[in-house]
Amino acid sequence: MRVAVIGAGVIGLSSALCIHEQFHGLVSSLELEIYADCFTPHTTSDGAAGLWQPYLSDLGNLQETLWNKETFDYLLGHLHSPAAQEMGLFLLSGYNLFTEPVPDPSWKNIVLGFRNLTPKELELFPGYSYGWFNTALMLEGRSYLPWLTNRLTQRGVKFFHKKVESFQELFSQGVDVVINCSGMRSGELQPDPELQPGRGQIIKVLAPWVKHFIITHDVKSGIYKSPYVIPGSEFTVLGGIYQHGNWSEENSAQDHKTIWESCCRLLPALQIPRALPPG
Amino acid sequence: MAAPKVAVVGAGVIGLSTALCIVEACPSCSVTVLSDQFSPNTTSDVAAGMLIPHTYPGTPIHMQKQWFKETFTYLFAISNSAEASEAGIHLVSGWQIFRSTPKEELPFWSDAVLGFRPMSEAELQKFPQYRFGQAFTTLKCDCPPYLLWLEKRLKAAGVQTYNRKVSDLWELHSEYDIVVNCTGIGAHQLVGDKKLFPVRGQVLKVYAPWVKNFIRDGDGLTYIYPGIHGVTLGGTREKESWSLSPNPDTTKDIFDRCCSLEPSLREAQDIKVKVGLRPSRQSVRLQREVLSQGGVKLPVVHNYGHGAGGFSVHRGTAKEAARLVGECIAALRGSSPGAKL
Repeated sequence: MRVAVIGAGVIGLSSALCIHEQFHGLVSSLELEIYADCFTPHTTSDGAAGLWQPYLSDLGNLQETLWNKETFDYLLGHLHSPAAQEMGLFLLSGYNLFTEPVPDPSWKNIVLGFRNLTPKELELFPGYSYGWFNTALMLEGRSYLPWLTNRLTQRGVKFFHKKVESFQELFSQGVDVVINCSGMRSGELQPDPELQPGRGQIIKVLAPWVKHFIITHDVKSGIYKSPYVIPGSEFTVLGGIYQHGNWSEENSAQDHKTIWESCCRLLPALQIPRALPPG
Repeated sequence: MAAPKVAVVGAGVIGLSTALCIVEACPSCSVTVLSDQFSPNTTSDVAAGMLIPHTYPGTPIHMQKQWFKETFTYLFAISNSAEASEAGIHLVSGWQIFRSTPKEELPFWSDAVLGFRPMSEAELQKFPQYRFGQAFTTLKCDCPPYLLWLEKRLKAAGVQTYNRKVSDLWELHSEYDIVVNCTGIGAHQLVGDKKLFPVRGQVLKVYAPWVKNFIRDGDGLTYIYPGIHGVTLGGTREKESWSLSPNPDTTKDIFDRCCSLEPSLREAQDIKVKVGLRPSRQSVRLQREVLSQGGVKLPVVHNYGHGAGGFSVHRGTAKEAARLVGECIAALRGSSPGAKL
């Protein structure tokens, strides 16, 4: 039985691992293959800061809340394993900031220690009058993807550096099941008007004194259009750009300026370090 | 009296912050810092610099609380400014955990730190051998950066610093009008204070940048404090031990204890071992004294004996010491024309 996964980002690799874990004992001669034209460190997953935090509202889609919980609990269970550091997994506490009171998120009981911010804490963030504090998890793609790749390789899963042009291409080669984890470019394999790019740009800085994530929200503009700061194990990620429908993978000088200025207003302590050159 | 000449002896966090408070309160004073050790060789440089107070049995609680609040407010403002990274001041969140519920569930400083609350059951699951815990956000003063930043501010305010071993406070009486004694553990020898005793602390400083939260065992012996350039792992509290040499068995013990709280520390790199002698006392000695020999008087302000809590109360005690210096100046000005100045 040949199963082909298309895509080697976090979704492709973790799907492959789950499939192998669940089926290799059940299905005789299971052959699992991963096809991608793009591997770590060049996938979309590598660009993400890696903070576990779903969108604020699940819009009533309880299945997503369950998936979120399963993911968080799975990762939390690995926190004390010897592999945690290799996986790029660690706890991170931080702030979500709002300009007005908002309902609690669907994930409030999934994360640790969820609570509202006190007035004294809000003094740190002029312009924001309401917020949350909680402890969540970081899972850094540049560590997690290689870790997943190693686990898969150990299990005998094969990797193919190849752009798959159509599902049919794989079926005609004798593949029995295709798992489509091609992320942003899934539309090239099967048109999906609902799938749109949400372009993000970030700045990575060296700011090791930042020990909390800070995510601001502008309910009017929408998610991630408002500045955010996420400290990683090596660099701190500054962001705040989310452009629906924009396919450009080039750095925008205007976006760079927007991110830098808005994050420095949010966190004056950032003003000392110089950003790494874009790219 | 011409500009009063004040000598501050000691260049750890207490000496430097006291000198700064004096020059802020009395800009016309000429302030000089004298010490035989400067950063990175002071006791302060070994400390993690966490703002979690130590309770002094002999000092009224309301006073300790005021010192802590004053220090916290001062550092909070710096942490939220463009100077934060240079000064080494940053916020850090984490947990203080107890194997059994402590007698005092609410420490006196619980309303001075941010977001203090009991840990949830889910949070406690990370520490299976612990039954109770407190979560909060506090500040950390990284050394050497903080001491270097204080030195820079002193220099900008015209304060000179000299590397000099003072063997007897009286030796300063001809050069200075007032002496401020911030010699920490050095006061045992310098002023013969037998109530001052060392509590030896050995710590490890390791590279583990994925550790972003602090963890502290309520017994004060085991702690993990993430700083800017490294994580401080502790520790020991060895009363009356004067040894500054690292003990390898202790190193292994500290590392094992910390790894049992935070297993990922097994991957920590670049492990360095340091030892400091906490200048401990039942109460902080923060008072005036007048030394006199042959009709000549030398006013002294003592500000030492902060033990395990130096960083937590440094600004509060420095301001009080500066106020006492002000009293000394007033007393000198009010004294008879036959006096020294």
